[in-house]
Amino acid sequence: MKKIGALVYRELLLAKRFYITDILIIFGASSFGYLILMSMEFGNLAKLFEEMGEEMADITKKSMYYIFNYLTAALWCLFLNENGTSAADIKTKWRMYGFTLPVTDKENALVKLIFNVSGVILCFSGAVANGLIISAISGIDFDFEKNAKTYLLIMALSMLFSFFGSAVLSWARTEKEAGLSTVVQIFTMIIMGTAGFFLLKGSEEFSPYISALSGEDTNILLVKDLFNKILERFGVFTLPCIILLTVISYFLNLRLMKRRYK
Amino acid sequence: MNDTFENAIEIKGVTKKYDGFTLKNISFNVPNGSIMGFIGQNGAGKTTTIRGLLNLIKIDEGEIKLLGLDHIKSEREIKERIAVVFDELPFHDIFNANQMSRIFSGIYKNWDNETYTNYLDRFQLPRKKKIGQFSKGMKMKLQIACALSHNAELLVMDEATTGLDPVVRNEILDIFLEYLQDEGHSILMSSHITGDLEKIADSITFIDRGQILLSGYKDDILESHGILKCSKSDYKDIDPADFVSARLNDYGAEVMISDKAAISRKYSGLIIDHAALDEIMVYYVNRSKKEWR
Repeated sequence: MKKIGALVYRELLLAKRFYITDILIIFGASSFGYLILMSMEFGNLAKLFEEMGEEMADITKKSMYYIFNYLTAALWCLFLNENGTSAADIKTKWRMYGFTLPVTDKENALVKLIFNVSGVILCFSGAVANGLIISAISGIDFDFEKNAKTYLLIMALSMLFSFFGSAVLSWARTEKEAGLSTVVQIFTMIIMGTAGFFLLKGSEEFSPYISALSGEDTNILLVKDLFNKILERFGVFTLPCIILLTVISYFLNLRLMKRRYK
Repeated sequence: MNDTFENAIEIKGVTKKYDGFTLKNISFNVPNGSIMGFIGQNGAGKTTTIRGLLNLIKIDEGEIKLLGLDHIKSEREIKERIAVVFDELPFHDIFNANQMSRIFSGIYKNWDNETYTNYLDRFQLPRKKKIGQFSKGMKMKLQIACALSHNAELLVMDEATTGLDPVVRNEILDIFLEYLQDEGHSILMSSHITGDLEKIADSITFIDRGQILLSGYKDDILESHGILKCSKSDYKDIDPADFVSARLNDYGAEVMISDKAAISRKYSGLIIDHAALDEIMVYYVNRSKKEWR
């Protein structure tokens, strides 16, 4: 336990600057959102909405609520990504040095697991806290169940995006190999995005929305309906997907630790 | 724990194949309580051998024992009792010496903070300054301070003194000699700075192109080897089987011999000079050419 404590302390020291950067990004973006929502309620934008008419104002307000709520939730997913410590360990050769220390592969993988699980908890809690603040500002009720499902969907997608990049970092032994991580993440995003689009477009359930979105009839309600359908259809898989990816990451790290150098 | 072992390191028949390079059937021992210099030119196989014995790479064949224990089966116990020093500091620039102590005190059962603090004082290393602001010499001293503060019985060093100025190198070599005062302590030191090893090593192992060419006590190696300086006509009379290789020049040749006593009897009129380790290394590296300039 003392060893795990020491390794977690080291990882925390190392991840500190990455976490500070992440928090500053999230804080900056959320503050921007809060200020806009406050202006819509109490400031100059509120006056503008009065001239818009009730229905239009309501649609716009809700759109902004959802955009800032889920965009910030997506930013909290920064904590789900590899926090930069693996790349730094490769650069300084700590990864190699670490194998000369009396630390087992399981202990090393466990430390990564602790950070992965903490990342999931932190991300979800941050998104919920942000959602509550946005709801309080905009006066829209915070629907925990629906919001939680959405956050989990965003988290699952983010984890899928970053999973292969993290896998490359776990496998990498040199700086050059570590550099492949970003390339792999970009390709994963492109492949998943393309697959997702064709999956939605090809499905009878979703195709009316996709067709409408690409036509003149596009409006925020259609996007909302499409999103609700997606949530209804895939929401059930998100939590198991997050748990599964976390567990796979542990075993992947363990296997890669055992592999050592060539 | 296996407390009775004759050799701190035993390497038997170790082979590791890479595309373009093979470590061929390597065998040598580092006697307990001694310091062995592991020499060879860049790419000779020193680092591969060290990585193999530390189980950083999987060897294809052979057997390795550290402190009398199998290097894979007893890996964790071995790593509790050894210390490794690399050519570059593997600690992150943003850490400081105090933080390193906190990390290692959790990792090593026998971490001795007092010893560590003494080394920091002796090396005049600041405790709260970020490692990134240290000079190369200070970084190496910090790595050595960390390596020597958990009562390690075996110190494995891979090119640890490369790139350091002579003053820092001397200071570090003194520390190693102090470390060896304890009879239970041993060192394997890979380096291509043979001058350092000539000063402190008890034995030498010389590797070239993945093969061990020489392994034995340093004094025996230095005593048995010599450089025979001769004219062109004298050189023609020397049997090629009697020497390792010969450096030709306009006036004659300088011939490396590996059995000084026998050669001085056989060619009694010729002068045989003392050969330094770096000269022995150069002549052995050119052994396949036999004659070179």
